[in-house]
Amino acid sequence: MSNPKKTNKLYSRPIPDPDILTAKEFWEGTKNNKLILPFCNDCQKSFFYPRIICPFTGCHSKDLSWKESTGKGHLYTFAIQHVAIDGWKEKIPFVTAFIDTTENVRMLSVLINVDASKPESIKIGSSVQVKFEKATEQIYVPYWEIVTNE
Amino acid sequence: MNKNKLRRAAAIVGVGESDTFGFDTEKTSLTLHTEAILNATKNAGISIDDIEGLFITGGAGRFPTIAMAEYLGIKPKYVDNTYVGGAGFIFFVNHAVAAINAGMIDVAVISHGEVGHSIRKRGNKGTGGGFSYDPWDPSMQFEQIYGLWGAPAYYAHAMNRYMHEFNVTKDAFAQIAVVAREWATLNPQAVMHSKETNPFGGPIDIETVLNSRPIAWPLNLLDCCLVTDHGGAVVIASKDKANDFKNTPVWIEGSGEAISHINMSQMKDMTMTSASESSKIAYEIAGMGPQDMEMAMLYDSFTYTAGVTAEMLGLAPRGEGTSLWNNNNASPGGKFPINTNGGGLSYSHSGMYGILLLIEAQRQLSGKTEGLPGRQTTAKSAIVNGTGGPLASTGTIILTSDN
Ligand SMILES: [Zn+2]
Repeated sequence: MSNPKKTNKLYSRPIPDPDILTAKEFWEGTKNNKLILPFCNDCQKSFFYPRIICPFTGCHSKDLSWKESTGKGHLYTFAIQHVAIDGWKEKIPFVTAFIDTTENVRMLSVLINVDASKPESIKIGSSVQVKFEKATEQIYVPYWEIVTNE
Repeated sequence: MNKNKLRRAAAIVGVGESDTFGFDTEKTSLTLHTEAILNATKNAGISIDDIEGLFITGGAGRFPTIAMAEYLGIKPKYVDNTYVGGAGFIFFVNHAVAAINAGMIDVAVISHGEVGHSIRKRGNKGTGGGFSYDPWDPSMQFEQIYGLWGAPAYYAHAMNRYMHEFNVTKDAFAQIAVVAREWATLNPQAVMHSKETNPFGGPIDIETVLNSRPIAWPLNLLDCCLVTDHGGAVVIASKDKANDFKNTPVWIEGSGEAISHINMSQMKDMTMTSASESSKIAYEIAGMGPQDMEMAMLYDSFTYTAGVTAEMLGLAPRGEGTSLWNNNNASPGGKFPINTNGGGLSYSHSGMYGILLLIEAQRQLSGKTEGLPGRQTTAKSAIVNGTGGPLASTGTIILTSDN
């Protein structure tokens, strides 16, 4: 599990430890309120998670760059966690979700500002928008929230 | 590739479990493995020195095949410790068939021993949990930072998506747990057999499942498999040797394996698993189809897993997997028995359950009902599917008996 030492008073949940070779740009982006995703220059598609090769069938190029996401997407599915690890125990129950961004990239995150006691109030397919929460001076963690008025 | 020669290249000729299993066995993984291997080889009528291929996963540390061979004092000439979660034992059947068909070995043992329950009490002193231990690895860097605890946390997302797409309710999945318990009440070895075997044992209904505490909505406690200590082993022999053992051979008509992802963000459609692919291979080799199956052993890590797997194997139309458990169809005395030991939900599940699917299928098909635990069926064919990791891997085998 995540290193419990890597938490602080401001943010008691696990703090991401960036892979500096493949994910530096992603975590630099979150610090600047931007969702920046890996992008394949050959097949012209965004993907996630960051790695040194394009994961798409028939491509697998190593000619990669970064592209800013709209930071918008929709809720593919969610679950309500009643058991959790580390500092997340204090947040029970909370809502984890898989988000499909407008670039067709799927990410796991936590959905904020929803009522975890009413799963029926959370609608799959809802429009969502990314938000960043400061964990340390260096690390901002992506969260998502449902957009009600578009 | 000539797939036909794989059909009936090998058979299951012996099975065994650890001397005790369930909660608080006070045993180690290696002890459970050893008891299971001794019981399975005895059941087949061979010595452990006859083991040529050793296929091990579950507990037993990072060098499981070597640790196990050393502990037993045997020298297998072919070893495999493929780690794909609880489906691993079905993969092992596939791999053993390959090694046997290639002429490298004639007798293989597949074994499991895991202290899923006891390790929670003793405390795991090694690097436990998670899919990865390096904080820079993707699962740690991008997924585990959100606090997800174990398998239920992940599976719940897939179940919710499925319920949304197919308009299926939690009740429909709860029924799978109810039927598992029906089988368990007929099996005195089952952990949840009765109030005597466990304070929470004995019959349950849909309300019991829906009222059990939430773990990861939509999964309640009784939608989730048990976490026990258990050892199990099976002996597999080549077709030329299969009739030399004490048991009626249970033939491996076909086998297949498939993987899809480890991080669930990489799973494109969470309402499907790779069991459609692993079963396609197994059916092709066997020259059989879903309509030829008379029973099924489906990995029920969660009620959702069994329900969706039924569809992936072609046993039910899309969106209707849970209907197999309705109207006593999958229940004792029903037309299509499923998880006849009581399943991971009510029999036992140490963390990697796949070996127990194989053991139960062999017992049902071997035809020797005397002295066997549980209610016996009249099935002469079975489909067995294991699912491992977060719906990450699947192995399918088709078994028959001439008995
Ligand atoms: Zn590409």
